[in-house]
Amino acid sequence: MSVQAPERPPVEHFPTNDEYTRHLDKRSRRASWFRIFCLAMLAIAVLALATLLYTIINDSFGQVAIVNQNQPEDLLEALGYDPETTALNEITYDEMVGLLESTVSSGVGRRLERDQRFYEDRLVFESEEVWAEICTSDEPPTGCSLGPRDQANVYALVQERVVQPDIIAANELVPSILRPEEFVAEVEGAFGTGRFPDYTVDQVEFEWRAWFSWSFVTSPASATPEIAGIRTAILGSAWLVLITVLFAVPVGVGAAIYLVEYARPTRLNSFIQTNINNLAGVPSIVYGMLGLAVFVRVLEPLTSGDIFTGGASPSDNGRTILAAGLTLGLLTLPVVIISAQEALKAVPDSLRQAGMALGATRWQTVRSQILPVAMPGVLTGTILAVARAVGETAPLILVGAASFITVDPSGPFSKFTALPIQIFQWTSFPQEEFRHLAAAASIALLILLLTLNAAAVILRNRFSRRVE
Amino acid sequence: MTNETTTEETTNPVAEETETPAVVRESSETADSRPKNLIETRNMNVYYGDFRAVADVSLDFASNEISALIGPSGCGKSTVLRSLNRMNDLVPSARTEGEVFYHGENIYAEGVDPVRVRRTIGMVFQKPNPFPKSIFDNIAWGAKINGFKGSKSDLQDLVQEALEAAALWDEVKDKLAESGYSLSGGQQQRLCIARAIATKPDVILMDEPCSALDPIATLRIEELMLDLKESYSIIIVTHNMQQAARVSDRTAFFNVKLNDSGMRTGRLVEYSPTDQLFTSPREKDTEDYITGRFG
Amino acid sequence: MTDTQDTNVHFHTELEELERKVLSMVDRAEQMVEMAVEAVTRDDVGLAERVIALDSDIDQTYLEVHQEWTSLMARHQPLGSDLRRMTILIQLNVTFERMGDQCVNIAKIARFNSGLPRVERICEQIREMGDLVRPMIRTAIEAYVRGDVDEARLLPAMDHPVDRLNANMYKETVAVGGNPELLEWATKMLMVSRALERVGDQAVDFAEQTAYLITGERAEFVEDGMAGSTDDII
Repeated sequence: MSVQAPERPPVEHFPTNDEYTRHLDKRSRRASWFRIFCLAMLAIAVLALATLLYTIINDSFGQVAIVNQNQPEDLLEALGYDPETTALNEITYDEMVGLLESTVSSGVGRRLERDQRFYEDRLVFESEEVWAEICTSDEPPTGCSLGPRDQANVYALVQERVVQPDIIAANELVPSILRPEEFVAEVEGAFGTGRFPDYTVDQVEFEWRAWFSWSFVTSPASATPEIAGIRTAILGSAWLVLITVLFAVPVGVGAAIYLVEYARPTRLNSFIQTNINNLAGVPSIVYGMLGLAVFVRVLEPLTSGDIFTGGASPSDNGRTILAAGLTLGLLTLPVVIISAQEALKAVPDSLRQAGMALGATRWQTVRSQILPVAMPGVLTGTILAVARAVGETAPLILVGAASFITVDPSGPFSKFTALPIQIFQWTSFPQEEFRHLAAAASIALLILLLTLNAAAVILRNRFSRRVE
Repeated sequence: MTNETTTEETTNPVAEETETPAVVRESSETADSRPKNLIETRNMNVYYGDFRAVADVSLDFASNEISALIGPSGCGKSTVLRSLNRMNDLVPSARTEGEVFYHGENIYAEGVDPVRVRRTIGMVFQKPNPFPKSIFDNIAWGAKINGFKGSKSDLQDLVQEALEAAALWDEVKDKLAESGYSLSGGQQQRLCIARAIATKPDVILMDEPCSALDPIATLRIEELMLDLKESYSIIIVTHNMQQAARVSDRTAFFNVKLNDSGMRTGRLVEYSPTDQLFTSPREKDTEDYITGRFG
Repeated sequence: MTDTQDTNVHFHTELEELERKVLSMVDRAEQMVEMAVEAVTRDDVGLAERVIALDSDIDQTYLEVHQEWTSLMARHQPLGSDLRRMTILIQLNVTFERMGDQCVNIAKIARFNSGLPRVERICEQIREMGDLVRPMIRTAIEAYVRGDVDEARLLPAMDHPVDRLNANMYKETVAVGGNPELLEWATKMLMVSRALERVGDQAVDFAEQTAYLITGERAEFVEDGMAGSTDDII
């Protein structure tokens, strides 16, 4: 099989000609086996990842059996719209409020209004005198200070209180595509066994549902799984990322610059360096405990915003976005420092020498020559560190991510939730629908992470050919 | 004429490893006829931690001359060069003892800011190291960080002057905005030279400036050195004897010796006018080195 | 001495080869002086022809040395004592070739003077000059080979008797008298004397080069106020 080498005179101690050919064949066979083995390992890894993706996607789309208390089509027709051309979220704000007015009880209505008003200038459920009274009391409800609701907000209420959709059964993606009739038959049959005592079989509609959809991304969290969305969680995560970056980047990059450019190799400095390296590997829950003890408890006046607002802040304790952001910032700080250090060390020393030799101070050299070259590497490292922080769950739980929030965070002193927290919470509920919601939220999280990592890779490639 | 010393050497064994003082002074010129001292080192020793890289170096350099430092590898010539503008300070373990006088002032005295020293004693390195900026900015940066006060067109004149002096202007005048890396190796080195002279230093130190370049680029830079001699003083380290012979007025030969504790310390062996050193050197070590005989 | 390791072995080997070649020329020249003096004083034309033949060997060697020298310079760019040795060798190349030419001149005179009447006194003096010049050449070779400056410095003193004999030759020639054939012979012998005096000077030159090689300094050998060669008589 192997090409015959031309005949050579024998060399002492080495196999030649035929003997060499046999030895070579043996080596080649062994080499092939090894290659196949590594390929098989790769296949296993790919299979595992594919299974993960499959599971998530499978759960995020599929058939549902849904019962609406009030059909959207009936409501639209009652208002004079054509259901074929108009969707329920396209009716006017006033019409939506009207629907609420006519459907919910006054008690519920007043409660809703106290949470957040419907109009700036008039009240819908509450009377003016009572409103004035409660707003000037010691603990005024949030509706007194918050602005009026918006269309999306009220639409969510309409869905929740008027349409009241109830998904009684859901099917996964692959069975929905391959054997949809099975699902229909199963549900209809289930009525006979009394699985759904509240409804009759003709109330049920079968429709295709994308759990992961644009409305899912833009809807606030809700107790009703049918209309629950991750907007609150996404905003929470966004705020967290902002605070994390604002804290970790200046502190981390500054520390890295000092360690690489200024620090002399003393024992103290190596001690510091070792500890930073170790801190990068500390489990995140430990950071959560630190955050709880320091940011939530000890620094409560700061993190709850009392210092700034004199007691009128949205939170009455330190379990705020600020505390969580600072905790995550601490978590990512060692990683940012280390990757910034690597980026700085990767800059060739010849540039430093050239700069100093011109009579520049150390800072001038670093700022004009070293940092610009290192910046892409620093950014890449930061993005990767942030991507890790986005997925952290344990420390956020400890620092007190709220389990149930429907109000979007308004600032650093708000209560909050985050994507991984939301996923965690949803998976702990028994109802089947929440499983699908969790899967859909996982897709969102994966997309976010992929985007961050792609940004890091693009940055790295674009600037990698800069300095030779 | 001192014939005695050399005949002695042909008959007596060379004194082995007693610390011969190496204060080498010109015997062929009187003190009055010498040009004014530019840089003078006195009993300079440089250590890296406990390792003594170079011992007891006393040299003096004159203005508007090219002086070459030659010797085998490890003899400390680069270390000596770098201590003339306190670039050794950038190495944490480096320590310099002895004095280095620049126009009579000791640059290693307490309170001397090395940044000021490097303003007037510039450096060009072995591997060309332009900044990752445009050709224009490469040269302008040195001026700006040293507090250049002129207008924008003054700066442009400065850059043009520097490039002309480095014999690079004609080749780059139409592409000043392009990156410094777009040039060839020889051009990059000339850019580095232009960068060094833009701030009008007094002395230019060159650490093996041509060893990374091809022969033609090398010759062009040697030509450039000879032109620059008129306005600057140049001290160059080279491992190429023929180059030292071609460009320098004076040459210092360093050698490395293994002492009792196994340390290889460099020492100054001879410092003479170039033609003398390469035709009739005074020291046997020098003669051995330049004829290819090593001890 | 310190044990030095030669990393320039190829060049030094070639240099030694070149040196051997150059020294072979001067060996031959010494031979030729003996033969030429013999030929001209004993009227031996056959010997004279042999001298002339030997010179073509020297000329051949001269060309080879020149070629080889240029090649070594281009390829090796020697420095220090190697450079000085190269400088000397090219000069010696010329000097020894000239020595050969002087011997040829003497041989040609032997041919020309053949059959003519002779004055024994003059022949004796010429023989004496030959006997003085040959050791000069020998001494110069020894000094070069052994690197002995002191020996080299002996040469000027050895040259004085030769110069004196040469100066004297004019008087002897004049004293020959009016016989035209004799006068012709004697005039030619005067040229022989001059040729031998030249060879002597060339030997002194050889010694000066040797001193430069060893000491690194150029100096004309000065002694007792007499500078250079005493060519001022003719």
